[in-house]
Amino acid sequence: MLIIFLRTAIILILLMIVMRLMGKRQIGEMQPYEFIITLLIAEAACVPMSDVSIPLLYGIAAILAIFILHQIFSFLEQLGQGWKSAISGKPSLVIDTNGINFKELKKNNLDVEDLIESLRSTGNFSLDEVKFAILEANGKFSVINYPDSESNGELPLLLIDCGKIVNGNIKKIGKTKQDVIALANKKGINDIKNIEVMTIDGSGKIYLQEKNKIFTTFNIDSEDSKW
Amino acid sequence: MVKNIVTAISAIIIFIAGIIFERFYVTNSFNELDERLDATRSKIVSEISTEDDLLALQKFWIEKKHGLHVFLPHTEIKEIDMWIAEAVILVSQQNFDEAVQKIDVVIELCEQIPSSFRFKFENIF
Repeated sequence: MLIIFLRTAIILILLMIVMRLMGKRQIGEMQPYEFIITLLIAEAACVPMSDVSIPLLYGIAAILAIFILHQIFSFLEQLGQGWKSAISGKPSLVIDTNGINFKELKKNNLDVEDLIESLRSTGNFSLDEVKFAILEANGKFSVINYPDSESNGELPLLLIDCGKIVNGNIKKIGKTKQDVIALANKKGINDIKNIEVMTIDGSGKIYLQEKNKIFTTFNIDSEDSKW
Repeated sequence: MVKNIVTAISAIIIFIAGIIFERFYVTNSFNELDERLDATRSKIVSEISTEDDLLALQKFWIEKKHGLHVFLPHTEIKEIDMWIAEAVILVSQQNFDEAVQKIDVVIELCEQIPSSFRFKFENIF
């Protein structure tokens, strides 16, 4: 027990020194390689700490090696934009004035639901409030709203996601698949596969974006929009 | 930037120094043990070895293994402990044939263990 305590203390102190030298930011603000390094350090520290048959030096050497690599990555990042992009990635503009940029969204392995969820965490509940949304290299969303945008206090629901009807949400608003198809037809869209995203909020406001087209918003009869 | 470079270079220097020291210390320790083992083996083969010779070898190993614990997995050290301890018992029983076999295993381990620190494909993967 005493030995494990001493090993834990040594590893903990070493980790604290290394973390301080790295100038660590909060977990959510890490660059990808920093996050990987943090996971590796945790693993490297854990094994020799708990397994007394492994020399403590193995853990220390692994942590030291990780630290050296971190410093090399940090140095390379400062050499230029190319290096920075290669190591940490670059921000993606996922919403612009045309609406959602699905190419960028797919490149980042996100779908519309992920996007809506992330926007909600930034305080934006409706897609049409957002002028620009940037997915930063550290995975956080930065949002610029339209100057005149104001939330109407209603929560939008996703009805069509990449040409597929979201049945659960249609049931929530007390409508059927046919009602959604009819609404699309009314807007001159014969095949719902051409719709990238369609949402409806409690006031009946629809957000619609067809493939390779600019998004539109419109209101439907308030009776139809109750949910 | 300067802090990054200085800390990285310092860490690299410490790391390289550690690698060199580890290699030197482990190889040196096992070379010394190997010499002792060869001398003991010759005595056992000639059947002139006594329990005291083996106990001296064991004592030498116990002194060496303190430092080696820093660099070697403790299971490997334990393995050598056991083979030497068995050789001590066999020599005390005048069972020289089997004692030689035990010492041969220790000699083999003395060659194998330092080689695991060399920069070789099988050691990396």
